[in-house]
Amino acid sequence: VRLTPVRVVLAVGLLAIAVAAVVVLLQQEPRRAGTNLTADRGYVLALPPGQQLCEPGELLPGDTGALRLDASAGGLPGPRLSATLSAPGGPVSAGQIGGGWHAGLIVIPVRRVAQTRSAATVCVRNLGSHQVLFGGSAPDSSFFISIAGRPVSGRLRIEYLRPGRESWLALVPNLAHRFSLAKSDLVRHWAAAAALLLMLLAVGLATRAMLNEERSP
Amino acid sequence: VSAIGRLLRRVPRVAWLCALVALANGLAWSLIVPPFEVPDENAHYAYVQQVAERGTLPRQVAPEGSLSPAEDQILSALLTFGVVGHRDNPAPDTQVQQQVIDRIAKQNLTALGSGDALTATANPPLYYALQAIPFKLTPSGKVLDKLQAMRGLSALMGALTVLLVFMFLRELLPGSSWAWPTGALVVAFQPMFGFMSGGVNNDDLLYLMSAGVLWALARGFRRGLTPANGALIGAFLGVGLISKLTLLGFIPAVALAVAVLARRTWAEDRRATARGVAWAAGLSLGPIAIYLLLNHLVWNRTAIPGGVGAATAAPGRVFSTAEELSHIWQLFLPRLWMRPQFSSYPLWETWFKGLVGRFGWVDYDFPAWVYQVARAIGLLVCALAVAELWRARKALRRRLGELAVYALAIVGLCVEIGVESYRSLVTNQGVFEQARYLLPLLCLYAAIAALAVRFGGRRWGPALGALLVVLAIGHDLFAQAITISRYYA
Repeated sequence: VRLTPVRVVLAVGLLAIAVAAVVVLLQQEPRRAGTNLTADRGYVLALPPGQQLCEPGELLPGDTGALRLDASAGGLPGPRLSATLSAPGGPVSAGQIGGGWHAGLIVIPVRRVAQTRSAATVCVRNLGSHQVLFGGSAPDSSFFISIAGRPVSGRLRIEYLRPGRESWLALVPNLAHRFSLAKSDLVRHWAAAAALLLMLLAVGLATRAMLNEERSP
Repeated sequence: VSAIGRLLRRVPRVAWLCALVALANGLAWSLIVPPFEVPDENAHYAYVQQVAERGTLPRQVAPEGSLSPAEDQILSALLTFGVVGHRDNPAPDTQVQQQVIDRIAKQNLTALGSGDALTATANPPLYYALQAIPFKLTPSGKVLDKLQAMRGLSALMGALTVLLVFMFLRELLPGSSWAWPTGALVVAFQPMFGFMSGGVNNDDLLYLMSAGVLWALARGFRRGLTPANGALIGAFLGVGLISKLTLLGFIPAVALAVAVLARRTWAEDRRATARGVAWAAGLSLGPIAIYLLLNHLVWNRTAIPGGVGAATAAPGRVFSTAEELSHIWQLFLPRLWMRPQFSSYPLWETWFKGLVGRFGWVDYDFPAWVYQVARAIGLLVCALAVAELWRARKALRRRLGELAVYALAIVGLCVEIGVESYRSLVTNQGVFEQARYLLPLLCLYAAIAALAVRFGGRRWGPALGALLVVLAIGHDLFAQAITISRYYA
């Protein structure tokens, strides 16, 4: 194969893209199992010390290993918080975060939830001595939660995280599964593979077009 | 038919390859982006549904009517409005949610709605009439199956757009065949174009027709205003106008082009020139005239619903011509002494960053550094293109009329977008402008890339072209990666 400038550029460029893709695929981060699709409109839900906030009607995704919440203790170090997750059959999981956290996204690790559970209830208890504010949507005409036993119109935003840190590569089977959901039955079971093949085809054809035209006058 | 066959046979093989690249890319995007996550896809689907199921055009229903039980229930099951606009909310990702979708699909709900198609209601019908074909041909009655089939047709329109972009470059730069695929492929891998090609939106037909107009104009400038070329110009403009009224912005450029071309050939062959002008004018105006008549006589809609003309200002707002002119200026250019109308700088925030990539219902984008890198690359490519124009200034002087036409196409489109933007602001305080509205200028985007490559000459140009194509591929794949991360991670 004769090395021409076009071939060198294409080979080096496509190799660089492939290397970048591998680097991204190997990055390890906490990954999401799901969310409750609630907008975080700021710190709108206040949980007094020693009290509990319970949010019913949650769809608890399988593989949940932690809850990510937006929380603030009003400039003070955050108090200890505990979380309990229950479904119609009884308790499902629980966990807690120690005191001293700072305002922003906090992660409360819980025991891994293997299966998806509908109609679950997530409760968060403030084990400290001062109030904690949570991010969510309130008032929210469609939802009621309970705070200190009283109904409140609103909803806490919850992100369900998978246990530990994972690379995109490790997550590929899950991504492929999620890719197969909520799509046309005509494509859903092969959409991920087809998208990959189509992009390989596009890149292959583009390379061929550039090599073809290299020889043109 | 045989003339079309001959024309198609004259299309170079490499042009088909570029079109296939765009088709593959558009289809990939159609699979990656979840249903109804392309801007206003619910409204465009509703329009097609109305055309296919009732054989009529949609009409405004106040208060906003239901689209149809079938579509409304699926939109609800997909949690569409919990995902749209909320970049932290993924698409449905559990089997439980899939079961809800399956249950609704099995209910065989009616596809007959109130007749409202929301933001799409006022659009002309051509795109929707074409999309009614895959809608009707899809054997299942399921909304998601029909939507996917319609997305396939949009991807095909994207492929044909790239074919026309290639043909435009072939007419524009006849001596530089190695620069044509660069321009066409840079468009084929343009992520915003790929994203739109993978969705149901009448912009897809608008892009195709705009590329057709610019190709026909370039062909006219190279080969003269023959009756056939006049017909091509008129047909693309006329059909484009009943695809989306945005193409009104091209009318001044087309009028100037026809005038310049007619002046050139008038002395040589008056009869052929007159026929060329007549074809251009007749085919440009014919479809829109028929559309206006049908609106008035058959569909009982206002002349150009939502298109041009006066609109009622929101309480506390008044239309002001001076403010409108200032609005249009500031939408694309530095503010100068004018009273500020935007909180950000639209040229950078809306147009540049939007074209580099802002996807979904304008709810997710690249990390900030990508736009900085894109600016550096964009400036370099533009500098090379300008340098090439300077180098070829003698030839350019002979083609100033043609250059003025392309410049007027840009100005016309910008003014049209600016007028719509101002109307939207005054009538409902809404933000209208999105970068995808500039994609009717894809041919000129490709021309900048091709000119930059041409600057490299026969020796280095092809390598420079390969570099631009590789960058475009990387850009597109990165856009798909953030899309997958946005909806599925």
